[in-house]
Amino acid sequence: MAKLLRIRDLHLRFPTFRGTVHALNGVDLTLGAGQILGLVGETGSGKSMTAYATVGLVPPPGRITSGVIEWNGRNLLRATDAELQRLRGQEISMIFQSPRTSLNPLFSIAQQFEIYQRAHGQAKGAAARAQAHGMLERVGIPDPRRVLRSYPHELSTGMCQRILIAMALSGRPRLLLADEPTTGIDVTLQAQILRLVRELVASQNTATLLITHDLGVVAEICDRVAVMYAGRIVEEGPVERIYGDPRHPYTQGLIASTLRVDEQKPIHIIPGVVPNLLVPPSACMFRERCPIAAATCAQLEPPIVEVSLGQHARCHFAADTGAFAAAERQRAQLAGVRPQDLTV
Amino acid sequence: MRRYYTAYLFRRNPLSIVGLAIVVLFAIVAFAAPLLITHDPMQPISGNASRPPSAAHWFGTDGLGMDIYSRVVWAARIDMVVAFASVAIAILIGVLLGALSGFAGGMTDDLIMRALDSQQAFPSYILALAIVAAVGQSIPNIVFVVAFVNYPIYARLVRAQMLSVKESQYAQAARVLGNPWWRMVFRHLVPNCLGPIYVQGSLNAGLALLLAASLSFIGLGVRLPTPEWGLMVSQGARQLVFGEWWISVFPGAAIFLAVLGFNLLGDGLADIFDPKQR
Amino acid sequence: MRVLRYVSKRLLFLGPVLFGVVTVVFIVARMLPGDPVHLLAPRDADAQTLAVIRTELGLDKPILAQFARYLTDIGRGEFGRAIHTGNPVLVDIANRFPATLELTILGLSLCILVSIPLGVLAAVRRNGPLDHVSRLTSLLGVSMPSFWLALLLIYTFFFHLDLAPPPLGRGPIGFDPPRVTGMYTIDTLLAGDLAGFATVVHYLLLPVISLALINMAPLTRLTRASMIEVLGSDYVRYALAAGVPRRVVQFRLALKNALLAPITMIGILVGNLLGGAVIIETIFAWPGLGLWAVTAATQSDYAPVQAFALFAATTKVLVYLLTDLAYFAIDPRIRY
Repeated sequence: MAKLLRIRDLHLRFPTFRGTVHALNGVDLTLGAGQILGLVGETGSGKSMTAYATVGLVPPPGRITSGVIEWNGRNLLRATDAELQRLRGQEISMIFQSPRTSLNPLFSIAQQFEIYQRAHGQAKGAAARAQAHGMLERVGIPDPRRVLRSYPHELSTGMCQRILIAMALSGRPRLLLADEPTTGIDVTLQAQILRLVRELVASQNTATLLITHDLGVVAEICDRVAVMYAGRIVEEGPVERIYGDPRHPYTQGLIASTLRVDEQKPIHIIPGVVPNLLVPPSACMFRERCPIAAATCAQLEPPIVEVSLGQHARCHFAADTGAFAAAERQRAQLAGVRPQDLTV
Repeated sequence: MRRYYTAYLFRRNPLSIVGLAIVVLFAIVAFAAPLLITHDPMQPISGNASRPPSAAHWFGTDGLGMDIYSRVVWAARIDMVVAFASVAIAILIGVLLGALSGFAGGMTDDLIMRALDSQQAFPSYILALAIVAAVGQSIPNIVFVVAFVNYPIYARLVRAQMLSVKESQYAQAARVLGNPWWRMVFRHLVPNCLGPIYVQGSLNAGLALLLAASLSFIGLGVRLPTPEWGLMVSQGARQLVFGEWWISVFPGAAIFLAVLGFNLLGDGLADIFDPKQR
Repeated sequence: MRVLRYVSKRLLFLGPVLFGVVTVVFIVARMLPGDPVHLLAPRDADAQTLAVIRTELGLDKPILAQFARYLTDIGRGEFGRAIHTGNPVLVDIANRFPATLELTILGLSLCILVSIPLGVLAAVRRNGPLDHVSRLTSLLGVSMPSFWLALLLIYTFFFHLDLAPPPLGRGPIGFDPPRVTGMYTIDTLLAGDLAGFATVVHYLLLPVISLALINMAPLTRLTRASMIEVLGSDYVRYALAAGVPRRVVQFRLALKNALLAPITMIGILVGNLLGGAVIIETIFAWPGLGLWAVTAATQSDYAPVQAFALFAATTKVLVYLLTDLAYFAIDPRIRY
């Protein structure tokens, strides 16, 4: 499959007055045309920063220290500001969480639409209005004429997110970066918005990077999933492979810690806390919280292992299916939990 | 936490330490004024008027032949006392009135708030001018007037805090548990108000000093021969056009420096108590 | 109509505040330790004259009756006589207000023209050289006593460089353009007197610059802070991510939001402008309202002080109303 976006060994630092925050520590990510990739991980694991880096909008004082971001074979880290700006919105679009604050409160929806259309040299005047009208209709807004006249504070959160999606997709981008687009939105609306995104990207053959911490969302609409931890991708592969047979202990923990209504079992909790990125641990970043950590983990960078077709994990023991289960059983015994309660 | 304030202050905003140093320096000058002066600050020396700075008169002499250096030093007593005392009084009136307003609510609250509105409808400088013109221009009057135009800030601040404490969950919880809620008010109101009052107090001291000096400058404040920076600047204003700069420049610089000190300190305190502001 | 409803609502608030303002002036005028008659009568008046004045002013009546009479006087536009000029207060105000208005309008316009672009550019190029310079100068500026600053300007530009005229009013002695508006810049231009116009501008130079400089520091500071906040907002991030050129984002989108706070500040500055004019007029012997009020105040001539305070407060209240209207026009979120 043709690779649209290829990120290699991306490092991002934030110099602060308390020291340098190592936000990204070698991110590797690939995305093919039309693919939907879910990027999951805890808050602060670097999901959003990866997206910002892609479009050249790392907030100051952040700095990309090394790596490659290849877009259609072109390294974006060498692109000029003007080139990046042309790219944004036309080839790569972005939507965010908190849709209401993503719209400028002082401009009507029509005015904001017009500014975006003008930025991309699209239709002007009546044609532009017709186009905006059409886009709003496509994202399922019942009365586009009224909505275009409205100001953001007069619209609901879900409506705002639909408008943002409409704007983001009006330039027919080839990649959509969706940064937690349904966080903070009513659960009933979440599903609608996600379905909308899936339909639209499918119809325009737009690849999507969906950033979320909700594994359920990923399962619902993604083809592939990448798991991030402490500024690195620790495991990546097709959704059904990752959910069915996770190989990185962090992924295993993450999946085990999601609640499922249909199963009676105690909630799994990953012990420990996210590492301090001011002083990132050497070698394997996860080893301090890892149930199967061994001496090697403190000495050697874990290699990226292809554990099955298209599934990669960054762990010394990724090939060893039994290791996690064994360690988990051992821990459970220590904690006095009966083995039959465990389903991993 | 309190113990680390200074260290914290310095790291976040080193300029605030400069501000603190300036304020402390002026306080020391005010206290030690009798030791620092070289001449009697209120005694004209005949045949010695309007001399430029020299070894005998470091800052020169004014039109009446008084030593400007000694007067600038001595004036620190008056200006700093006016600044501190007026802010202290403003805080006292403001806190009492604000607490009463928030506590009582209803008609009392309305009445107090409308009174504050009416008072604040005047440019503060003009209100001060009008009051001084009516009550007469003694130093205690100046302190009172400066306090009077500044207290509404504190009253509003304390009232807002009072209302939010009254509405808060802990006040409601206290009521449910049978504790009178006003006991919670004192437990929570005082600590919550302290920070903003420090910040306002520091910034306000600078404004108070400027206001008092301005009143003296236009002839509605302290009277000669009492040394006061604003008055001294005005003494030199007419001579400045003939090139006799030192009469106005040194006392003016003293005002500038003292106000700068209060402002820097206030900014630093604002940083600590309300980090979101930046 | 949304606007009409808003305005009428605001005008309703105006009444009580103005009533409060009048009350404050009434109370202050009766605050003096002695007899208010002394305040309102010539200083050398004998006992009999005082008694006459007392009856004439109704000062022998109960305080509420006095207040009622005071209110009707104000309602009829009777503010008494300024002893130091001998004119009725309203005549003096009408004569002198144009001088103050001209000075303050020009001073504030200059201030806005410099501060807003400076604050915006400092925010856009945050931590750049311009930002550092503007931050330092506004820091020093807010601490600068206005009268000292004006004097330093006079010393530099009049005494040393001889670029400005002496601080002696609006023009050389005897300079008196035919009065139309009372604002010399306009009157000289109306008369086609270009040389006169140049003189007027020359004399306006230092007072206007002083007034502008005094108000510049807080406005620049606020504009910068406001712009920085807006540039860090979600909608700016979204606009950038959507490919809107950075310049368009900064100067078409963000600027509008960033100007809301400075508009409030400008309202405050305009509202307090008469206070600042008092000092500047005193220094430059500017024959405006401020100097008139100060002269009266130092001579225990209370009627002008009273009227001036009322005038200043009314102006401030009206200016705040205008500020609210401007806000209303810009921000669709405000409704009443």
